[in-house]
Amino acid sequence: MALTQFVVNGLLVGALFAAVAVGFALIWGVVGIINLAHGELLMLGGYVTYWLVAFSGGSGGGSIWVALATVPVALAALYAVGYLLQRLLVTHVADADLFLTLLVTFGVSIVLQQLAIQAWSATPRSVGAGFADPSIVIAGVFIPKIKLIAFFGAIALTLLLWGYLRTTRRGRAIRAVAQNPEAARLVGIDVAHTRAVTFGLSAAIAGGTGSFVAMILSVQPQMGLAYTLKSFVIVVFGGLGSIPGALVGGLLLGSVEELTAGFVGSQWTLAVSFSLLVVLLLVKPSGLFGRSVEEGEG
Amino acid sequence: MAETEPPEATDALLELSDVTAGYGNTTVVHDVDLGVGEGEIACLVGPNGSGKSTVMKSIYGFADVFEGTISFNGEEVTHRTPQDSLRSGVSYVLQSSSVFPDMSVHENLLMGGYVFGDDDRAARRAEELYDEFPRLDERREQAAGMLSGGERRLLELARGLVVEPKLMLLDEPSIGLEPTYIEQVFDRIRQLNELGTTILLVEQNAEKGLSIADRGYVLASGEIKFAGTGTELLEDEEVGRLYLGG
Ligand SMILES: Nc1ncnc2c1ncn2[C@@H]1O[C@H](COP(=O)(O)OP(=O)(O)OP(=O)(O)O)[C@@H](O)[C@H]1O
Ligand SMILES: [Mg+2]
Repeated sequence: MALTQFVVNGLLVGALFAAVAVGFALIWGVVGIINLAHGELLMLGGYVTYWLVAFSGGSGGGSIWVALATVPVALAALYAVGYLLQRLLVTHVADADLFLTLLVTFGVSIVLQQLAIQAWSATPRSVGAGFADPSIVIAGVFIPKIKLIAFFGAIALTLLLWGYLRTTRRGRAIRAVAQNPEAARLVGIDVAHTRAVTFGLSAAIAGGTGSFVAMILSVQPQMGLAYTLKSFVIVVFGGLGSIPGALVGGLLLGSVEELTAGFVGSQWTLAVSFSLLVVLLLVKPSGLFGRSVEEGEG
Repeated sequence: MAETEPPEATDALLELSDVTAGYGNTTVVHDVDLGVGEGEIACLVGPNGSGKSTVMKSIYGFADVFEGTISFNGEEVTHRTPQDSLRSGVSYVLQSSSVFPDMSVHENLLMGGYVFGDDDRAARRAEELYDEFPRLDERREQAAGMLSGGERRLLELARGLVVEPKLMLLDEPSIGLEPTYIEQVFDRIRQLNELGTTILLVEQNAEKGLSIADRGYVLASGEIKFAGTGTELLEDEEVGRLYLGG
């Protein structure tokens, strides 16, 4: 029974991991940036939700509806942050070597962390929005309603992004830039703008996921790194640019982490994630470099 | 020594005068004078690296024009962007492969009409082009990366036609193709021209290119060395010796 419970817990958070990873893969695939500040964008989204709920007077037991209403705000705010980051900063190093882009995004992640600590202190904070009757029990397995909502929220964000890339004209432009930037320019796409929009979308999905993380777990200025790392593992597993791959990878990683926490001890989850990354890189380097970039393909 | 003969300026659809162009702070071509009359096929030939593609790119908005002017259809268009070019009826088929490999043939065609800002209009144009390119019709749902080299070329050509261009810039359309495909591509070019599209062609097979051209230009080291009708250049001894390998 414990096993089932751990797996269910894992799947519930795994959807959040998948959503963050999809954003991470998007910017990697389209702009060629491994964004080490991706987790910090999630952190910022979490704080947007935390403060909005706090200001609306609901901290520590607020209404779930207020908390959910903050999600679109986090999406919009982080979209703007992502768009500007690309336009003002990343664009200047995007065509430089990989090392430089890693350095710049690492720098951004440190700056965002420090700013968050200065502004909001290092204390973990939780929205604590909940239901009067918190859990559903199915065959002895507890499913907290709030986690179920976060689960579906994250899946919805992922599917929305997938649909956007697949079916809209702008989405097609994003895929075009990923596949052949010169040809994209040839057919009249504004490549710089499209890249910034892509960065915005990537940041928005991280921010939206951060909102859900604030609802079910907590937010803290240094929480980002773990999410960047998880994204990395998932993308390596699922293949760059594959949204279904990221979904499966996220759910799997969530399960593995919960099983580790449950049977071995929660201090081991990060170590297990790291080990998985190393093993994946050894046995499946093609997941990293083997495939041309494209979003949404099975 | 250059027997550069200026084109009949009045009815030229495209005209470059004294164009110096390149990339960033590198100058590649100098003082290029070139004209293409409405309804003509003009062919630009010259050795590798002489700047043929750069001339095309400076017309389309892919290279930087440092000096001189370019006019199209009676308007000055010197520093325009690819968007402007497409909207005014100029399209460009690049020398290097420019399909979107993981998109379907159909999506690639829709991208040809990206500047319309209207997918329905692009889709209607795509349907018309399927009638002209039945091979693409059969493969509409196939990923463009899976097409053969010749089919890819046809797709690039068709994608360039989505905007119904008045002028088409074709950069080495036969490069890397098997002989049967080369014939097909040249047939297409002639056909297009007969339907009224003006064409500026760069061709590494100079004889082939000049033989279908009304007007020819020989570019070497970034300068126009010879200009004349296609036949004149083909028959010119010096041109033949220096540039046609014969
Ligand atoms: N984007 C660029 N930036 C800087 N220099 C360039 C660029 N593209 C081309 N060049 C340089 O310009 C010169 C002419 O190149 P261009 O492609 O115009 O020649 P070409 O006549 O088309 O050659 P080919 O027959 O090989 O296609 C070359 O020396 C090339 O290195
Ligand atoms: Mg060339």
